[in-house]
Amino acid sequence: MTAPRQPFFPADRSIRASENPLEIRHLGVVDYREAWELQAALAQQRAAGEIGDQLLLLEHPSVYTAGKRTQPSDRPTNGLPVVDVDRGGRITWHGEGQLVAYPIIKLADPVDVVDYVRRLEEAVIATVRAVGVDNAGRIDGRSGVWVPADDHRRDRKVAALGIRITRGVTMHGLSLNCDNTLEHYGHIVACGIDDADVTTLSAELGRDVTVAEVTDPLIDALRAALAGELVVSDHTFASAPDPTKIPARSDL
Amino acid sequence: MTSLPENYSYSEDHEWIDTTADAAAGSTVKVGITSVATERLGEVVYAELPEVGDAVTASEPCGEVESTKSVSDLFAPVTGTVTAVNDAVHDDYSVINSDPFGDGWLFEVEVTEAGPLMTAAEYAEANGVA
Repeated sequence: MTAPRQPFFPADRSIRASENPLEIRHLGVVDYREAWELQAALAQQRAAGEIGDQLLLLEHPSVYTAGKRTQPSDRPTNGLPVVDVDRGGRITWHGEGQLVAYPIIKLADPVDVVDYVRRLEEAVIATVRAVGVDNAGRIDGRSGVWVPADDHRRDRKVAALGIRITRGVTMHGLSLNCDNTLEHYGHIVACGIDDADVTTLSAELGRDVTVAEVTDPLIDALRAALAGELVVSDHTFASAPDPTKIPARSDL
Repeated sequence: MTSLPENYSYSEDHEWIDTTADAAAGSTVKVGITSVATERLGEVVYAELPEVGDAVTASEPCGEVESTKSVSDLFAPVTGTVTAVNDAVHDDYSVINSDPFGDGWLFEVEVTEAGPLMTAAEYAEANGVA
């Protein structure tokens, strides 16, 4: 169900409702809650037709954020604060050195959530591969962008996604680990997945890959993927159950 | 694609009620999300539904569903009071995908006023369903 499936309209068509250019906003380092309020305000204005589609690029100071399905056992053991948020997915960490992209986009109707998520992943895969991680791809059953296991290391996630769609307008988005510390992931069960690891572009490539280096390539790839110029294709290298989908009532 | 039940009515926001628009006011109807919505949402992993006694307003959000790392709003297709909730979906959300017009129903509403609703044929036409 999570692997690329036949889209409901041609894959080379734009998923955006509008043909006007995407407005790109570089925000620098912004406190999580401040950025969240900005996103909510922009999404409301976009839904009302007061503004056009936006793409926010930023970094957050160190913070954990938790979606509704986050389990008590996923939460940090180091006493750092957690912001409970309204996106999909469970717990994650944001911090400097991690590029965050929040597309505030009005999607074409009927809203195709699966297609939107796969297009974001496609853009990240293209960006990550272009910078040198040639084997990055998808794991069927899990969202995000992954680097496959080798002799020494397990599958590891380089980019995470979490989305909210209100009145056909997207908010939240994706985070791509560039040269951030991985220390803070050690205190949580990131995304509720405990049998895999987290990585950065710098760790994978053995050189410093900064947010600045990948920002423009990511913008270009996102623009192309949303427009249907970069077509979603199958970059699945493995299949694994998503442990967060165990649908027991006790899971709530 | 699951075929659309002929005797149901459909909202622009992809919810259904299990009766015609004319018959809705004053009656108690089941509410769910359509196959058009479920196929585009992907696998539903969580749903937050209104509670019994809650007032819901047509075309206004009344809950949320999460699928594919995304949270989407659930909109009420009618105005009225919630009289029952399908707790069984919390035991296995996949029923929303596998049987959206049957066992995957979400809640029941005693209707005071129907929202803007379409027939199966109108909804199919609006969403390119064959």
